[in-house]
Amino acid sequence: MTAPHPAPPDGDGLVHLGVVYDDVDDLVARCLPEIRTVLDAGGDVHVTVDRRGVRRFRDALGADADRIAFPAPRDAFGVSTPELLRTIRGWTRPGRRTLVLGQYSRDNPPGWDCAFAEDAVNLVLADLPLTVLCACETSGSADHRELVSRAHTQLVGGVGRVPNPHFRPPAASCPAPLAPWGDPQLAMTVHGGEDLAEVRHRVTAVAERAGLSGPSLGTAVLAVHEAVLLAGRAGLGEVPDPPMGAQELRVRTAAGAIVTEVLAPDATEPEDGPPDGDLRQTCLPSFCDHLSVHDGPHGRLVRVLTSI
Amino acid sequence: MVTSTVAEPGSTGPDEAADRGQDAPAHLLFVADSDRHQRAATSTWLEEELRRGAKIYYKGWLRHGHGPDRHWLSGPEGPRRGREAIASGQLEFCDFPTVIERCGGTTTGLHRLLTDEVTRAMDEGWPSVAMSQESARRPMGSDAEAAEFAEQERGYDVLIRSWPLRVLCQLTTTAENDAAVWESAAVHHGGVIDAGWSAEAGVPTAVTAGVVAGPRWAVRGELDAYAARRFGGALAGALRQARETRAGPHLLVDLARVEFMDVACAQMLALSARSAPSGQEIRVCGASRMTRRLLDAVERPRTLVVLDELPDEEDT
Repeated sequence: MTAPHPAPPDGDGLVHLGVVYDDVDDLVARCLPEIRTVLDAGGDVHVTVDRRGVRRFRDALGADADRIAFPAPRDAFGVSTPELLRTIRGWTRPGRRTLVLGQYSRDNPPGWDCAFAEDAVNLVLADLPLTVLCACETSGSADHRELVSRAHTQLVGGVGRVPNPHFRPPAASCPAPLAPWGDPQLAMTVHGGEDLAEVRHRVTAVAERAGLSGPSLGTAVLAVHEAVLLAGRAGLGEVPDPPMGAQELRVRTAAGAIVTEVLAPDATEPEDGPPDGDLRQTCLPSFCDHLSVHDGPHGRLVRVLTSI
Repeated sequence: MVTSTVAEPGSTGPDEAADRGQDAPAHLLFVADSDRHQRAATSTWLEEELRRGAKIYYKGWLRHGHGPDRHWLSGPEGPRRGREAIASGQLEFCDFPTVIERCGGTTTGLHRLLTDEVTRAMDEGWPSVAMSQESARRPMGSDAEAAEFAEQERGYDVLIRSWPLRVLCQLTTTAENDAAVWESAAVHHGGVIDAGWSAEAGVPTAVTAGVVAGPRWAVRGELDAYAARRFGGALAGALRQARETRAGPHLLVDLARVEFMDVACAQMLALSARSAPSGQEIRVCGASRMTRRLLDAVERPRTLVVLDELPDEEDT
């Protein structure tokens, strides 16, 4: 038996919750405690549900409904995963939690891939102070119900949150589905530190074509450069080392962002690496909108996203 | 056979100011990361010196049993006129074991050898002298050896102050250990040409708001993790030099011509400022907004001061 989660200490990162509900009243009942927790803490709430759901939430919230945004799902999330990610990221604010409630629908637009979007949320938005509730009606499709069970670390039931034993994280070697970002504008193998200048040169060309210039161009190029070093676990001490081993660099520009992935299959921990490596990882978020680092059996994969 | 394209002793060359290469320090360290890179750059330098009509003394390594005619200088990787220059006497080659033998293995002996070479070239009527030596492959295993190396390099500076001499020291990173790379960069901080970046000591004093900011050390190009080791060594040398000059002890690092800096090099500046002796600061000028953000990101210490304006120069 699993215990309910009455007062979640959510920390700074993503809390991704699945909600399976019988009807709209059940949906409101299950989500309302989460919403009130965020409101009470001074956070923002965006409820993107159908019209009937909006009416019920407004009734249930009373005066607090005025503190909540009710964007239409299609307006908020567009028709693609990148648009969804960009919208949610745009809603977040530093220092406070943002709650987003979305609803699975049978009327998704063509090409919309719920599973893909859920994986992307888990990985791309992992570091943001976000609570994302994904709601699926019990009468919904079997695929959606299975997805709720697979993609969320916790489920929200009638007694609050419970851990989800069926949750399966996306593979570390492939932290984000690539298809929606399109073919890479830049794909190259970085063999070592001597290639860094060439990396910067080619990334600059890609970023300029994407519309970046001036300081924002320099910031984007620096972010990719540091991502390569971070993937290669380059040292950063009195005697820093160039990156070790070959790395695969992929840069994509799509949906208002430059997305960079660097996979270092052979990256090994340098002797004087961990503390300084932490420094590089600490500094890098200052120069990008999102950073994720995945260490797994296939090596280290660093992902950097910069808005255009 | 000497062809007309090889300068003869006493031939008229460019005026002395150009000969002395006033746009570049007379004592330079060239850093290469491969033999191929080293040879290509050195060959270009030699071509230029041959064109200037300089007497060239070249010190390098020979494979066992090989003579100078088998050195790369005489082959297709060498200067186009290298073989003729060796034959004519404009270019003299000496291998390192012979150099050590001639100078008795001492710094004093080396200085005497270098002085003899310069004065001999002047006596022969050459308009200027150029010297170059390949990466020395020193173990650089102790502070004493590093100090000896620095003293040897100072011998070139003494000669440069008295004679029309240009010196190109070569550092091939693949042939040297970390300590040697660091010390070479430190000793040559006043003139370093590396992959993507370079540095040189500027005018001796810089003044901002009436306050002496310290001797100026100007860096240009792209400072990244690949170059951070040499950048750190050169910075350490510039700091050491600043402590020994009247304009010191602070060092003014001019970043106005730095086009890129990454976390590794920003961290190198911060670490150097933290480890500098009490009373010494690194004062940075000409830093871009991005560089300032980087320095803040690595939590620059109070001894790493970012100046808002480029100080006026005052060569007193």
